[in-house]
Amino acid sequence: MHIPDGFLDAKACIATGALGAGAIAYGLKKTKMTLARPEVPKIALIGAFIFAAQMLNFPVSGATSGHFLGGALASILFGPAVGVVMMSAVLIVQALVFQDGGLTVLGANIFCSGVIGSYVGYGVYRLGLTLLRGKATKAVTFLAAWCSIVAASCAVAVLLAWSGTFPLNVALTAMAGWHSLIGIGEGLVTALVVAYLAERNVTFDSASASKEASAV
Amino acid sequence: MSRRDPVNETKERSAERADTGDARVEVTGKKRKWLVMAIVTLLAAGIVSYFASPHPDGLERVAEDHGFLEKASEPSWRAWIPDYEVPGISSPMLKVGLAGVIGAAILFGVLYAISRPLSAKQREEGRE
Repeated sequence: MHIPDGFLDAKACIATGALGAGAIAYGLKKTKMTLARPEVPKIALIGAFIFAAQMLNFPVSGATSGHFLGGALASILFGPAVGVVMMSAVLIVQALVFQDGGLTVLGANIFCSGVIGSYVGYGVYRLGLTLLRGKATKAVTFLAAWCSIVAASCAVAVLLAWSGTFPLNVALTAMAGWHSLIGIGEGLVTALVVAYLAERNVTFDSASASKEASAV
Repeated sequence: MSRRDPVNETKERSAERADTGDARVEVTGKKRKWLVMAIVTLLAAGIVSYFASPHPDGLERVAEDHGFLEKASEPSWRAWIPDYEVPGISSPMLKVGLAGVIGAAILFGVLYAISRPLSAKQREEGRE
């Protein structure tokens, strides 16, 4: 769901440009506060994986395809701030090197796929773990990823409507409709990779989880 | 079982991370799993990418259905590898696969270069 140049008007480009830049600055600052050295190659590798997986368009329905986004995967594995940094890196490289996604709308793509995708995915994941007390983590992961791509597509719809492209209700229905299908792929890949790489899921109470862990 | 060690190691790290208030899953420290991820990434970027569906994606489909696809402007500059096809290579499979591997390598390098200076050898910095 890379917005090309021309879809958004100047005000939407400028507003999302500012939001995107702010989110990257915040993400880098937060990353600096929390990142441990052994995580560096893991972050780099998952970033490469997200780029590769985004290339793999799968057929959705009729003559339409969808591809993996990755915001939920990055934020569930490394936290939403690092997720934003990772997704921004993917989107910037895609725009600059591969001409995928426009330059004037780079902020919009970072805001929708990066910021919304990461924070919604992470938020739903945390909420699901809390409500289910750490049970059914695969289903929670699937749902978190599904929500993240649908929310990102809704954000794109809002920006399109704001730019006067087409009415908001039509935009939301169309974008959320297609991406609720594409979200099944997003959910499956995310649940599979998280289940493979997670040693343990942090439950609703991280403080007691840490005591439990140090008692072992 | 030799598998125990990395598990304990990640648990210790989880205790440290909880102090930062940024809880999330404990990502595995097992080298074998990361090697598998690296191989999956290279296969996806280098080979499977060629078999990706050529149909328009969700946003392009919506733009087509609602008549604003033509609003997409022609790029004003020429990127190094436009549309994930390395220019100057005739084999369709090779030009897509090479683009994928180059992209994955760039992402690995960029994220490594960004995150390494931000990381702390010990976790002291996470405890402000």
